[in-house]
Amino acid sequence: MINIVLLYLISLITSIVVALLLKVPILPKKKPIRFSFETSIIFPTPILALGIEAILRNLFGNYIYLAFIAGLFGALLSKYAHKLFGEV
Amino acid sequence: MDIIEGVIGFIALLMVFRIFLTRSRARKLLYLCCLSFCISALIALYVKSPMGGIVAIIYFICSTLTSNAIAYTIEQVKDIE
Amino acid sequence: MEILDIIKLIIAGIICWINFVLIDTYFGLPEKPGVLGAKTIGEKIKEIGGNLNGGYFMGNIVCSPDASAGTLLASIMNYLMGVEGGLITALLVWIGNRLCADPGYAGTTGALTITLIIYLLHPIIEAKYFVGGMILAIFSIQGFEHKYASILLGKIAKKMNRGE
Repeated sequence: MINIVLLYLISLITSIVVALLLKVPILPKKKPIRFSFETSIIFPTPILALGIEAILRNLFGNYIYLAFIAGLFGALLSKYAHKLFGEV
Repeated sequence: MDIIEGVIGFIALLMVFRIFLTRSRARKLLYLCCLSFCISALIALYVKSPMGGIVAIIYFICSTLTSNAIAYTIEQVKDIE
Repeated sequence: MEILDIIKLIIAGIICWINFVLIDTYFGLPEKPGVLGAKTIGEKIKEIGGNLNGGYFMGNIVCSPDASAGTLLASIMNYLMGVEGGLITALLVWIGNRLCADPGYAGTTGALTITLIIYLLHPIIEAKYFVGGMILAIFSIQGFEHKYASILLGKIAKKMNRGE
């Protein structure tokens, strides 16, 4: 049980660290925040990392390197979301 | 059949009747949205496995995308007319 | 016990209704139509005598996954997989929001808060009742009476400074 919480914490912290390295802003710059499409460290980055870690843990098992990969992909998805999904 | 599936199925049938009986296209879209919610819940409740849940989520997001396209087209058609 | 089931269903429905209406109103759904399709529905609701901001709210529910979709899908995944289901739902709802040209705040927040509520209440009300409760809540807004539902949503929006 404590092992599962540790895996999620590892993926959360990895995603925040990688996002800081990729220069993702801490809060969106355009105000009001609730309408802006910019990703930030507070909003989608931890959620995406935890979601990817939940999927990987249920498919493959409790491995630590999968938690690192989940954090990495969470940060990458949040940084390049604009290129993947396109502006309206 | 449990009471919850019964309630959801009854609401789904009610929505089907209201879609046929109402005249306005925009209001039909609102009833259709409620119907998609009901079908998505029924898919997950009857296929009692995690893959059933993933199927329900994907069905719901695709039906929302198509309703978005239909509502956008209705607005464009109004501009043309 | 059938009467206890019905009471639990109604209580879960009220919790889901409060969850999705408050979160959607906070993130600005009644303020303006997110995409063009929501504008059509809002104007039609105003034509039949409802409130324009309530109409924009209902149009935004149809055109993009918002907190109502997040609440329903998160309760489904909580029933099938536990708390991790809620996290997976938040990821998939965010992707769906971006596909529908929406920033994604309302859907993910709705999914995460209902996951927390289901986790706190799981000895008393199981997750299955939240699925049925959410269907009752969305029926009361989108399937029952559009005019009065939009007037109620407009009043709530005005109280939270998101209406006109």
